[in-house]
Amino acid sequence: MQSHDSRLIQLEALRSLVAEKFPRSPRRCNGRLLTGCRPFDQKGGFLQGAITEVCGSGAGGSLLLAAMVNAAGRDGFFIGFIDAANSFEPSDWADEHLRRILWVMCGAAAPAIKAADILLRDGNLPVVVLDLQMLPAAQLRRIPVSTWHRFQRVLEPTGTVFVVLSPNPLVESVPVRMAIHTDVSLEAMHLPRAALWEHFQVQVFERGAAPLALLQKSA
Amino acid sequence: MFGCIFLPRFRLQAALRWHDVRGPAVVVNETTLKGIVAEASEAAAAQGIVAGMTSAQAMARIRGLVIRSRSPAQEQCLNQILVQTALALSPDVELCCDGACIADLCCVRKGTCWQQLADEQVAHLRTHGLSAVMGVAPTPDLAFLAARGARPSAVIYDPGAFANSLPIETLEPPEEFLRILHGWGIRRVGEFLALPKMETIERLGPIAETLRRKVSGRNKRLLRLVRLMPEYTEAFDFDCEIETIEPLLFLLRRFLNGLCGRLRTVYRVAQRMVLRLPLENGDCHDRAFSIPAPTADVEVLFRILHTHLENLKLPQRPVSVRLSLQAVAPTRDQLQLFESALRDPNRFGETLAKLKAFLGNEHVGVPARSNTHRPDSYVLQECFPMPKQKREDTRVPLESLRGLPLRRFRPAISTLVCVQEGRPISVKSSAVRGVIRSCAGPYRLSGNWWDCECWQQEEWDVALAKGGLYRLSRHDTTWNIEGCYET
Repeated sequence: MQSHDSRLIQLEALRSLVAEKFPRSPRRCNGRLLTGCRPFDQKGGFLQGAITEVCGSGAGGSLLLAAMVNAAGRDGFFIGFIDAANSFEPSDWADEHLRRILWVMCGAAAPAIKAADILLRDGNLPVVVLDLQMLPAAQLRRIPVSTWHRFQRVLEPTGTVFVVLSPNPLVESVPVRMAIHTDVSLEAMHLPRAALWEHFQVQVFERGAAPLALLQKSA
Repeated sequence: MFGCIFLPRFRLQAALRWHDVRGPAVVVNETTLKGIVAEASEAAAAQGIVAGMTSAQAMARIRGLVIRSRSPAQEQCLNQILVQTALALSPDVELCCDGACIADLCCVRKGTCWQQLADEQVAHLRTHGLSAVMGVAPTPDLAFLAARGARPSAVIYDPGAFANSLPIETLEPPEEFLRILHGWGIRRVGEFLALPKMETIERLGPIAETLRRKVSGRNKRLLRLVRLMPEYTEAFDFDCEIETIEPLLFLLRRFLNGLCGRLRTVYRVAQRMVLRLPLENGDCHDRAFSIPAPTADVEVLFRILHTHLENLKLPQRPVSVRLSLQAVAPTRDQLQLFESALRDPNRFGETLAKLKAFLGNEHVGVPARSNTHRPDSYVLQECFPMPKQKREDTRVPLESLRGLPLRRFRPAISTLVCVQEGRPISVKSSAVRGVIRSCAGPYRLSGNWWDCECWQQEEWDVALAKGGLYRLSRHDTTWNIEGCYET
């Protein structure tokens, strides 16, 4: 028994040694995360090691989170969900979904940014979602632009998918920005969640471009 | 053969363990007001201080004498270390008194050099900061006697010759018995053994036979085996309350060095750490840390403690510190060589500790629904142990969930609602106002009707004419906006 345990300890020591001698070199990760949700997968999914901003409809943000958690169940990973406005409602989610979510309640923009920084630097979670959609515009305007550049540098070596949910275009020079529009009504509340995407339109903009309607709204 | 590991001046060693004391020192029993000297260091003994003196008498003899009170916590720790060291030699171990442990060495490989074995044990205990001696002899009692006279190790091959040279006092006979022997001119054990056996027993009683057996090379008595679960605990009482984190961190690192060394000796790793800081007002700050990937790495464990302590604010100053580790066997569910459930579980644990320190324990965790229909009821689970990554598909079909997830306003927004024919037609609040185009409801909820926490409310899903889907709730005549589905 002890010899077996000692071998395991030696194995752990070997792992540490290899990790120390051959640290992961910083690399730009070009992989993409497919959520199984057609509107996003058709546009190429979510870039790993980069920020993706999803702005527009709040309901679209919730549905996107649901799709991501479903993908987490499929591929066996966990999602860090930074809830800037403390608006997540666990009773509307399945237990299997909830088990995949690390819920970080912040209550304001500044702590949410700090929490995102901590989680992104950790690099253990392959998907981190920062939900800023329910925050007042005044708080969002106070987030320094340099924050997003710093996050981009932190993300590159880790390959984490970082999704920022915002009401309006917020992240400067973001590699991919997605805009969700919807005309969802009360009747949709009885439809299965998978079928709800028929009421949403997703547009993808590369390299910081933004839909004119949303820019006008934010102005 | 039997081996006895002995810690000379056990109480003094325990009391001075984490102190850097070079001069003469004594440890006192504080059961009386005067403080009676329990043990004195070699330097103090050389200047005439003996056990039983009062501390005032001891101080009168030596200027600058260091006086410490007994530390029961440290004494317990030393006994644990001693037992654990002995258990590494043999499963049959007896803790015969504080600071003395006897092990049956019949399991030791044949051909082992006893002298080398004893020296190794002494050297091992020196790494824990303990000055130990060890005796090896054919019987447990002789091993104990050999250990008490060893400098620092002794192996007895000829029990007769060894016993003959011992002073009669080493057998610790009763005082009356010793007085009689001295009256007969007997000073050595050999002289006592030379007396006729039966006549000695007739005159002195059964105690004479007991003493003979102690030094007999053939009396292999049964050991009173120790079957304690080894504890991995270190503790320290500060001389005065501490106000900064540095001395605490310094001590904790030393604790971890010793504890992790002990864990590695028995091929174990730490699964849980418990830090206890007794405060000056009698309260205690207790904190348990789950180690995500059990380890015996000092740096990993120290970082967890450091992260916690650097954000810790206590109402009072700590007067002592206690650290316990819970040991487990290393994990057996090995994945591939470079694969684990998380990329670096221990780093993730530190990250969670940072988040909890920054946002509060009640703001970080894995959400779960609580066992009630009461709105806004949930529980946050401890993040660890995280389930292992399995490749089986655990997706929940999105078809099984209906409607949009709610985004809840915490707290709910109080609002004025106009009602016509029992249905809300407009809403007016600080955040949301407008005419209601359509609504669904009422959805009536209630619970806890069987106790004083009885609750009930009515919920409506409404769509505003200008856009936006909201959930309204009504308690009696009060309306609130609970949250929104789409703004």
